[in-house]
Amino acid sequence: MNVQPNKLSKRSEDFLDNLRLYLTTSGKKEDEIEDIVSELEDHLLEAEKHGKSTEDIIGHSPKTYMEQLSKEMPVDFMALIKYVPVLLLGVFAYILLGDAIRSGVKYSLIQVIGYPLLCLILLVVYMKIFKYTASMELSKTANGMVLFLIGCLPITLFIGLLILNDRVDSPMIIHLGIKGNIAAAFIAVLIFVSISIWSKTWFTIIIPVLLFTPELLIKMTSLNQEMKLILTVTIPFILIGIYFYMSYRKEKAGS
Amino acid sequence: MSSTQMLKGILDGCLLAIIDEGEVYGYELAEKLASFGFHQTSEGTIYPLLLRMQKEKLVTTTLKKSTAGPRRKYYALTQKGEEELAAFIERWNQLSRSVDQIIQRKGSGEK
Repeated sequence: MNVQPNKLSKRSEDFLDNLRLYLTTSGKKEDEIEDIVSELEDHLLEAEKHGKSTEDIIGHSPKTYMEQLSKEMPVDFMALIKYVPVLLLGVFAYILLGDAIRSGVKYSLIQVIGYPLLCLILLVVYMKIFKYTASMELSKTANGMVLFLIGCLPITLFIGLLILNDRVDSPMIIHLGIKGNIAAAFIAVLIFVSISIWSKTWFTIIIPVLLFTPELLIKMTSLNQEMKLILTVTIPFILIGIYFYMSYRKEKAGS
Repeated sequence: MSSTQMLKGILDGCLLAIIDEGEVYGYELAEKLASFGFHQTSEGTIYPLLLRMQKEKLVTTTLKKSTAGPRRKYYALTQKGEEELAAFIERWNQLSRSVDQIIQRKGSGEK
């Protein structure tokens, strides 16, 4: 009859494993995760010794309980910072592939200096912001605002660079020929594939495919210019919309 | 209205009151709560509340070695926690007086 000491039931073990995974993927701090998991492990152990079931502790919906815990734990923004360089690499590949397909890769001095400089600025700014928000206890709305600004910043900076490049003359230093453009496109694709493997998602392969293939196909048709332009702009957005809707449905069905 | 809904907020105050009696760890806290007749919620409910109280600096935690093996997290009230407890008791007394009065009047058949 004696239950082995320090041995949890399978249900409780599973719950703790799931909790750890859930909190990790929610971007919580690692030591805080270990803290709460070991505290609950201790509680479950003792409860089971007294003949209580897992449900007596966590209630009937493990998911609800995990959400309740997660809500009280701050997001670890510093841990998210490692995604920023990857994000910037993705943006670079996106610009490169777009240029290689459309007008050919040709960069002026301003662009050659500007792009890496912007990436560097973004990296520093993001680190500062993340550090700041991690130490502050922001409300949900304030947090949303910060994330929104973080999202707007790169777009603003890149548009700024484009305008500057338009207004100010600087010598062209990179001007690729046909072979060069093919190589550039190949490099861009390679980056997308690498990020996809690294992140274990199809995301960075599917999105560029949805963005660029319609454009390439439309270019080959005999439609008039105006029609081509309209389709080029609208079709990728519709496709991406469908993609997000489908992955949302799939995720909902899975949970 | 279920008693679970009624309990929200009150549970916070009760936890503060129990912790005020002396340092406790999670399981002990749940046991004491149950011994006072709180059986409506699952035991784990206390942990999200404790996490919030830590964030709001109402309680501090210390890790102590336990006989069972793993180190245990003990909770104690901070100055701010004691103030919050006093405020809760004040609020509760007022509320329970009002509720009592209304219910007693009903019970005695007065209109």
